[in-house]
Amino acid sequence: METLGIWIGALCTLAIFSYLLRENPFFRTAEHLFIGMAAGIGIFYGYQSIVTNAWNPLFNPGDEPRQWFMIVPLVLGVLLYTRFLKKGKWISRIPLGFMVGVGSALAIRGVIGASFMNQITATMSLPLWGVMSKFGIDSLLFILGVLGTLIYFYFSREQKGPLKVGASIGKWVMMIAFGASFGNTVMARMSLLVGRIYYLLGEWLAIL
Amino acid sequence: MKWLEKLQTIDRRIIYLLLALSIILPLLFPIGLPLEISKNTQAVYEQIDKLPPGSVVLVSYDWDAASAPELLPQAEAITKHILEKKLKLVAVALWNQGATFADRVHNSVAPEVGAEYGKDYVNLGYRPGQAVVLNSLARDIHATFPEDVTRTRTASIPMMQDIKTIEDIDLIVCLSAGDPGLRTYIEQIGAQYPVTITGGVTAVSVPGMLPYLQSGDLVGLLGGMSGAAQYEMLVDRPGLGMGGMDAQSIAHLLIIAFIFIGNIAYVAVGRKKK
Repeated sequence: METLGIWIGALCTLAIFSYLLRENPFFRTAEHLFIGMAAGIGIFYGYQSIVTNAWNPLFNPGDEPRQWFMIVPLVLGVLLYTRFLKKGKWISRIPLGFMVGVGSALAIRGVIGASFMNQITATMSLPLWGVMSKFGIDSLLFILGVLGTLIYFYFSREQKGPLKVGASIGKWVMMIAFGASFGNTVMARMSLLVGRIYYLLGEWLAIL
Repeated sequence: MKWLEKLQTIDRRIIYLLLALSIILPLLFPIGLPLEISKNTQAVYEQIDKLPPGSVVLVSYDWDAASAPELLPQAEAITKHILEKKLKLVAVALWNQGATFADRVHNSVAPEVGAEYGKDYVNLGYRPGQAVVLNSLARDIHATFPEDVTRTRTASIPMMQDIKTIEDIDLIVCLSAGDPGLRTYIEQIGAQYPVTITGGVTAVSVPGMLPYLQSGDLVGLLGGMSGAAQYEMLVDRPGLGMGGMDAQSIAHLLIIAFIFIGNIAYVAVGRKKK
């Protein structure tokens, strides 16, 4: 079975690579297989999750106490499908509203702490005015970059004079950041290619 | 300067071929380019290394097959380190393919170090829900993951008897290819509970995670295949990371050469036309 899996993986990889020459039926077959399998796996895990987390605790609790409140998520989940009914479409907004509310609340709680306040605190605590021996040019660049980027997105006044200088610094900092990000993206794509060729040469042809 | 003009109309298939050769040849004939351990990789290693035996490490598999070349070698090297140090490993997944990869990593590493399922490590599988799952996990692991991947009740797994909430976890290692992933852990768990978070991400995600390193919300970070290679070197377990680094470096040099040649040709031809 393992050998069969390796062969299917290798042939699908070659079928996908064949797109580099031109679009062809092998590529399309592999592409459709991939999309179909990804959807299938998603449905399986979604179903499994409902059975494990809600259905079993409610209907097959075994030795553990029956969790009656699991009826709530089950009913809310079913209500989502009312969007396919012409007249009952509005009902689906109830579970949707619940999901949006919980999602937003959790996101805001986490984002404000870690991605907002902690970032501001960390930037403010850089040793710009601290012990001079600890002063590094990187701190200065960092703070200039943050201020410049913030100024770039300050639209309440016309950007001229010091604001224009600040915005220019911000623009350059962002360009450098985008460049670094693009470089990392190229590196990631190369890693994927290396991984696939490693698979073909190592696991399929066994010449590594 | 006709050849400069020709360079601008070069068949893309020739570029593909050269790129493929730049990867295949170093894989077949390794050059052994030097590899330095970065500060962030060392920090991940130290976080795991300083834990006393019996400590609990939660490893989250938040990636899919598309990121396997970067994150699978990271996961294997980290898992080897954790199990060799006799730490308890609890694997969970916020991405649906994560649990399968966790199994694959355990099956490959556990026999090497003589680790036993249920006693030294466990795979609790995948749960959909992203941030909701993490909030629930922090309060009650058994309720969030009632069964492991073998359909065994979590409460009946020997090593899970004393691991019930986030307070029983000593370190979180999140291997992530996007959201939900490392950022979700930092925002939902790191910001609320006193547990150290470290991890590894794909190279694409590295710039987005650097601010969290600077703020101290994240301690150490493995970045892409190079992070995996460095960790493999630290734990002495050569794999795809170290094997692929020569190929990746040569491919990068080739791309840089393409960019230079393309731009020189573009500028030269442009001047001539003016």
